[in-house]
Amino acid sequence: MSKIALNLPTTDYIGLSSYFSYVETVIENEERIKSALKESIISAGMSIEEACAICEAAGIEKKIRSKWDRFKAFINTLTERFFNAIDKILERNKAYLEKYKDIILNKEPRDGIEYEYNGNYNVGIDRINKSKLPPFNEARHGAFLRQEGMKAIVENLFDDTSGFNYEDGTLAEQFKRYFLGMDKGKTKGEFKNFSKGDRQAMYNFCYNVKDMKDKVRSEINTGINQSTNAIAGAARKADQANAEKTQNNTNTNTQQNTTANNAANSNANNTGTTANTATDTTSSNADNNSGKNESVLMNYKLQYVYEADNDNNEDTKAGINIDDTNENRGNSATQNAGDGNSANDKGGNAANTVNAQEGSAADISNIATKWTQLCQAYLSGKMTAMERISMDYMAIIRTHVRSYGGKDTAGANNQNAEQNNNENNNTGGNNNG
Amino acid sequence: MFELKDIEPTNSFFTANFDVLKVDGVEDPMINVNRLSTIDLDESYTALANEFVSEISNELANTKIAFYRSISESTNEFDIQESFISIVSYIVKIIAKVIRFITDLAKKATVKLMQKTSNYKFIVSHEKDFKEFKDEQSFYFEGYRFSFEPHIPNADALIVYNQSLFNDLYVGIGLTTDDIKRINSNSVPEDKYDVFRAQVLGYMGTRINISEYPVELFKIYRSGATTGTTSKIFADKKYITDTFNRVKDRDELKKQIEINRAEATKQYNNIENSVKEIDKIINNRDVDNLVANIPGNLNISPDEINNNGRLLSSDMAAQLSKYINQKINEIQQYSAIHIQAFSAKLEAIQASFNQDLNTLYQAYNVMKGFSE
Repeated sequence: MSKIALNLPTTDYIGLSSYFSYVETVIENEERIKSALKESIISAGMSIEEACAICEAAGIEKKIRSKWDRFKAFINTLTERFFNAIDKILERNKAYLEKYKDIILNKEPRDGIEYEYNGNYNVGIDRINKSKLPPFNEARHGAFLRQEGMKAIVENLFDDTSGFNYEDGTLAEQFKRYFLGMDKGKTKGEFKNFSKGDRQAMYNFCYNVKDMKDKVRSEINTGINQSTNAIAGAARKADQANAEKTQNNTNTNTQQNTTANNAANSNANNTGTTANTATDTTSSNADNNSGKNESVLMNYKLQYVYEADNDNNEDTKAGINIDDTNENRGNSATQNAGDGNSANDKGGNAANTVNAQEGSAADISNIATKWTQLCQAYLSGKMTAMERISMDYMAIIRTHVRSYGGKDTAGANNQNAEQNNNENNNTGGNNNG
Repeated sequence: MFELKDIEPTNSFFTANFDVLKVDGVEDPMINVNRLSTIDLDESYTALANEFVSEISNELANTKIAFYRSISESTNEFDIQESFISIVSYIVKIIAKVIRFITDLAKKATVKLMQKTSNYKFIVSHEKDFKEFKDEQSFYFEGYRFSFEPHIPNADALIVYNQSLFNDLYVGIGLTTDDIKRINSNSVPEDKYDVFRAQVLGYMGTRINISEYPVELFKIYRSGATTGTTSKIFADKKYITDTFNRVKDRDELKKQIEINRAEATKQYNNIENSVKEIDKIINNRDVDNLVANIPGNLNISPDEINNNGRLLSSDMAAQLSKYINQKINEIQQYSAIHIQAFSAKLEAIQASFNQDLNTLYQAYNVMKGFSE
C-alpha cells in the first residue's frame, strides 16, 4: 500500500515566535514594576528622575546582553526546526525530482491540471531572494526604532521599491504575506499555462531547497550575530552615561548641602531678613520633610508590596523552551530577567517607550527589544513562506508527473514498513469529543 | 469494461497507471480533471492571542507603576478613592476587553471554519464519489490524530480567582488570624500558575511550567503528538466516510468553539461582577465596608479613617495595595494562560479541518487513479 504525504506545515514559526515575545514582555514588565517600586521607596528627598538614575545604575549592559542572549537562543532553536523541515523535504523530493526531471521540464502539461493558491509565488521567490536583514546600527536605525510602533523601522528597511506595504496587524503575518506575494491576490489556472521557463524555475526552487537553509543562516549572521556587538556597544554607552549622571547628581546634592549649611551658619550670626529668610527656609524644609517623612513611611510599607510582587510573579527567568524533548529543557534556563520597556507590533504602550531619553537605559532597551521583534517577525514569516512554496510547488509537480504515469518511489519504499505496523490498521481517525 | 494493467499483488486499484484507466477504450474525461487546490494558509490565532495578552501585560504594568508613583507622592493622607479607583476600574475594563477578545476570536474562527471555499465546495460536490470509496483503495498517510474534549480548555479553573476574591473580601469575619496572615503574606504557592496551566488543560494534580506550555498546547489537541511527530493513519472506507461527514457538517467543531466561548465568558462575567462590587464600594467611598473586610486590618483603629473616607494610615494603604497588586497579577496571568489555551484549540480545530480536506483530496485522486 502506498503512503501519501499531505501538505502539512511542520512548525508554527509565527505562533512560537509570538509566545516568545509574550514571555519577554512579561519579564520586562516585571523588571519595570520592580524598578518603579524601588524608585518610589527611595524617592524620599529626591526627584523621581534622580531616583530613576540610581535604579538604573545596576548594570544596563548586563541586562540587555542577557535579553539578547535569550533571543539568540530562541532564534537558534526555531531555525533548527526549519532546517530539519528542509532536510525532510529534500530527503523526500530530491530523488523524485532527479528521476522525473525529463517529464517535469520537457513534457507539456496535460489538460485539466488546475491549481489555485493564495499569492504569487514568482513574486514571493523574488522577494525571498532579494531581501536581507542588515546588521543593527544605532546611527542608521535608532531614529526609526525610537518612533512609536514598528511602522517606521519596517518602512525604512523595506522602502517603496520592495513592494512591502505596512498594515495594521501581526508583523510576522505581514512578512509571511509579503514573501508569499499575497498582495498580488490569488493565482489560479491550469498548469499547461506554465511556460518551460516557469517550470524550470519551479523545479530549481524545489531541487535547490537547501539554498533556503543557507539563506536563513546568512540572514541570522548579519541581522543577529553581527548585531550583537552593536547592541552591546549601545548598552555600554548607556551604562557610562548613567554612571556620569549619577555622579553629577551626587556632587550636586553634596554641594547644595554644603551651601545650605554655610548659609545656616552665616545666618546664625546675622539678624533681620536674612535670619528670617533662613528661618523660613528651615521651616519650609521641615514642612517638606514632614510630608516626605510620612511618604518615606508609606514607601517603607510598599516594601511589603515589593516583596509580595517578587514572590508572586511568574518564574520567567527560564525563558522559553520549544524543544519537545526533556533533554533539551535546560538550554534556555539560565538567563536572568530582562529590563526596560517592551513594545509590540501595534505600537507598544509602555510608559517610557516614546519618551525615554535618548541614550538612557530605557531607550537602549526599547530599541534592542524592537530590533529582536523585527528579526523574529521577519524570519518566522520568511521561513513559513519558504516551506509553503516548496510544498505547493511539489504538489503541482507530482500531479504533472502522475499524469504521465510517474510513481512516488517513497510509496514503494514504505510498503514493507507498513506491513509491520498492523496496530495502526484500524485506529486512524479524529475524535471530536 | 475497465482495462487494468500492472496490478500489484495487493490488487489495489489505485496502483494502476494513469493512462490505462479507460472505459470501453475511451478515456474518462473525469479522470483528466485533476483538481489541485492548496489549502489557504490561515492567520495565526496563537499570534493574535499572544499579542493581545502582551498588550494587557503592558497596560497593567503601566497602571501599577502609575499607582506606585501616586503612593510615593502622597504625604500623610491617602485618599482611597483617588488612589485605588483607577486600579480597580482598570481591572474591570481589562476583564471586559478579555471577554470581547475571546468572543471576537471565536467568531473569527467559526466564520473561517464554516466558509464555503472552493476547496470545500469541490469536496462536497463529490459526495457520491466518496460514498463509493472502497476498502481496496485504502491508503496510509502521515497526519495527526486530533482530539477535542468539549470542556477543554477548562474555563472552570478560573473559579480560583473569583473564589479567592470573594473569600478575601466578604468572608473576612469567618477568617482566623492565621488565615489572614496566610492570605496577605508571601505564602501563596509559587507554582500556582503552573498548577493553573495544568488545570486549564484538564490535568489535575500536576504542573506545567511557562516554558513548556507551547509544547503542551500542541500535544493536548493532537493526542500527545509533538510537532513534526505525525502518526501513520490508515484511510479506509470508514475513515473516508467519517472524514467526509466531518468536513461536510463541521457542526461538531463549531459546537466545540461555542461551548468553550460560552464557558469562558460565564467565568469572566462572574469575575467582572465581583470586581465591579469592589469598584462600587470604592466609588461610594464605602470605606467601612471595605475596611472591615480587608484581611490584616483588624488592628487598625477606626480613628484612622475620617468622615470623608480618607485613609489616614499608610499601613492600611500598603495592605490594600498589596492585596490589589496580587489580584492584578492573577487576572493578568490567569486570563493569559486561558486565552493561549483557547487560541491553540482554535488553531488545532482549523488544522484538523485542513487535514481532513487534504485527505479527501488524496482519496479523490486515488479513486480517479492519480495515486502517488
